[in-house]
Amino acid sequence: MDTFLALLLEQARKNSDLPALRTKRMGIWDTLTWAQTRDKVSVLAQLLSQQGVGVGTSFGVFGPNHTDMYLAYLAVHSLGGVVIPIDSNTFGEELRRQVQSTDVEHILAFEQQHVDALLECEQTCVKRIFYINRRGMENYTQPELMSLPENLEGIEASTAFLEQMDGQRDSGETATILLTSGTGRSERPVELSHGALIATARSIAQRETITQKDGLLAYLPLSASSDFLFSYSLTMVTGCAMNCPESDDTVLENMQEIGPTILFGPPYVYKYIYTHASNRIESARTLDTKIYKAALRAVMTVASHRAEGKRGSFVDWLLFMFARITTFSPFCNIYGLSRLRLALTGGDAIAPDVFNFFRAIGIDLRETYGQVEGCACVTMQSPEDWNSDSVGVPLDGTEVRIENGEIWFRGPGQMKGIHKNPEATAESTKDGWVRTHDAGHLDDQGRLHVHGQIARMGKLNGGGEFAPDMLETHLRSSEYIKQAIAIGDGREYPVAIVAVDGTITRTWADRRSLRYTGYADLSAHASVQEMVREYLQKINEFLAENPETASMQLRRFAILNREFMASAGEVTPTRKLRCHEVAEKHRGLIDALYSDALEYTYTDPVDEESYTLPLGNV
Amino acid sequence: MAAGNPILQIDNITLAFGGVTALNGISFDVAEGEICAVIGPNGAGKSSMLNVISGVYVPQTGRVIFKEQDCTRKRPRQIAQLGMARTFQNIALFQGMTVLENILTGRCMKIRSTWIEQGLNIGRARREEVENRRAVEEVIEFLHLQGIRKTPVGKLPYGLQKRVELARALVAEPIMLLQDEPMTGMNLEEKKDMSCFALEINREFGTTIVLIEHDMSVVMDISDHVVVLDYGAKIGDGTPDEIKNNQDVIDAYLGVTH
Repeated sequence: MDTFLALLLEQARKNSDLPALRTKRMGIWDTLTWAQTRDKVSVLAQLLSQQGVGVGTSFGVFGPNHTDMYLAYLAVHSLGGVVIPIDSNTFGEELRRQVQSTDVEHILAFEQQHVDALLECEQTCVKRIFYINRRGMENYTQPELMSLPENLEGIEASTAFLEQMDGQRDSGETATILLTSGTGRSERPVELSHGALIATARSIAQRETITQKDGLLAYLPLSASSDFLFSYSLTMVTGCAMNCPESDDTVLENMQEIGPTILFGPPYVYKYIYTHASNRIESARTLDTKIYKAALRAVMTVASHRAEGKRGSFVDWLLFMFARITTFSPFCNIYGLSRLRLALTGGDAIAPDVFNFFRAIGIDLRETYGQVEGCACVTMQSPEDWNSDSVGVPLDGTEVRIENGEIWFRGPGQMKGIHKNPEATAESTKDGWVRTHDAGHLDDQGRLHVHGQIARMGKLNGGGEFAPDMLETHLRSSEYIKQAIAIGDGREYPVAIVAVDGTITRTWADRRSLRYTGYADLSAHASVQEMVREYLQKINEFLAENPETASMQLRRFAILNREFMASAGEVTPTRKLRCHEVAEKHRGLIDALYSDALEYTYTDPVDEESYTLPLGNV
Repeated sequence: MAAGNPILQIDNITLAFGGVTALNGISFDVAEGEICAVIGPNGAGKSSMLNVISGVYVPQTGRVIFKEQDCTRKRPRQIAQLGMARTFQNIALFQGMTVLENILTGRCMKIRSTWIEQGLNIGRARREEVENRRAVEEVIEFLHLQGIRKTPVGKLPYGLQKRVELARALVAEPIMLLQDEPMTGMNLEEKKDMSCFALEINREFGTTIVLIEHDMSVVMDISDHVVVLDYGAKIGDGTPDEIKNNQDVIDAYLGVTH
């Protein structure tokens, strides 16, 4: 039977002494073997069962990536409950909405900060709040609170209990309800079954022969569907080790210590490593910079040959191997990538330059495409795909078709439906197919190409298509541009608002001895403006080459005084831009871009300070 | 934390450097488990007071009694061994060493093994190493320093260096913690963090805290007891509410025409 409990019992039998979950505490990696994991889960499951968690109970798990959180997933799944993962940084209205839309009755909070956030939420159906970390909790007397460590004492591990539960489980039970990111449309709670998640994970594992010898890092926000699939489900299916980083700001360091063999990251993760490396090279000694750049040229030449399907010369290949061994092997070691055999990205389009970079230096980076409705993964590239334009072929058993330019899919990984909303479910499905709200096409080799969200596609006033997703991918290709939004639907011409990457732009500015006080000041600097303009001109040249995209050339742009932030509701926890919110929030700025103004002054609601942004013509 | 018996008694301290009288007949008590703030305008003698308490300066008259022992003439090391730790106004860390190594130096009072044992990593040295590292890790977790454990201190921004300094004082497991202007030069958010840490240290470990601050607004919310100095003399002593309404204090801070 395909349930997470059955998988746990199987792994505990087969791999009892192999590491299952690791977490870094007090500077030391604490390891739980599969047998220990089973015992811990049985204890927790017994307590939760006593507390009334049963089939269909919505159980919130609210906190950071921590072993205890994933143990709770397993305990809830053992009892037939529904896990509602909530990102650690959620609070206020957003938390209330998430808890309410998924009918959370019991919730596990990691520490004081999470308990506080929950107690502030009124009018929810939360009956009981469990918490793990007792620090700072001495004076809390609310009756709904319950400390987990104290109440777990005295309960004996019992495999028999789990086995008894196993008999009652069914693979069609809802395992989780995840919210869609709401980048284009409104958020919707999607129900996924044990069977769907396990089938998707198994299909990836079989395709890439992922086994119990592998290791991965669970570092994405719990609420991300990619974490549920690529961390939790993949670990349970394959029996590989899941490692939880110590805290948000030690991810890179922990990755270096663990050396994962499998890594899933949204494009921003790879962009971060890419930018981080470029930044260090920018500030290195001249000789080092030269060696690095020569090595990069050598690997990029061969990579571009492969992308175009050409055979390069033997000398090129020799240089390529030499550069990989001397420069990029140590490079990978520094970033903890040297044991990596499969790197995956998805959730958003990756910038071609970043993709090419990783492929060239010897990381087997693959693009995936998926949606919450399809357990986060529907298609995946093969090792031969040296181009970032396609997202590969569907997983085994999954089919993709195009209807009126829209991508539809069906397969074992599709959702059960939208939680308590039959109309929305009916709107999203037709004859067993699930719609994606994305435009795309299939090529002659069966590979899927994604053009972007249909809702965002539009027309310019003068006629001509407008595809903002494509423009934004190009904009983000620059290492200096961290985020960007393109606007143009129903307007005369396309414009862009960009946020520069603070770290690397600072290094760039320091090299040129520019004077500035902080991020806002730097982003408004004339030289930065000029640099961005030059980059936009390059994009325009590229767009002008193709008559279909020639009308999409950017005319005006503004550089924002800060990055788009999750706390302002502008990006999702996995850092996808919430275009609708951003356009709403910066309406004044956008209007100014469509006037002749050369400056725009406004009060930023985030810090309530006044900023003057220069507006540029490309 | 409820205040208990006096753990520190300052009795009629006078300290002069040549002709300049830095402290003039100061007396006050600090109760066990309280947060006591010593505030005053620039040049009021706050840091001199702290240096007298920690044994750096020896006053001309008066006595400092810590844990019922006369500490007036004790050396700083002896006082530290009684369970007093401090942070400095100007950061006094080893700039080239990592955060972890810097905090580890705070454990030097706890080391009993000889250098031979340490060199050969035998006997007590091994056990102590593990113990010390655990203590350091506890403090790192407490002050959220995990992300910079291996970063050289010199590379850190000012606010974080201050926090590392606090960590080093804390790792000595002090009964009383002296903080010399812990919030100077910080932005509002860093000040808030620092205040929260002071409260948490006080609550979690029951540590008595004496902190010196120039800016009175930050300390009013967190201290149980405030002592105000001006030109080397004590002009106020009481709860934050009493101090807020004390006319001498208001005059000293706002200035009056003489």
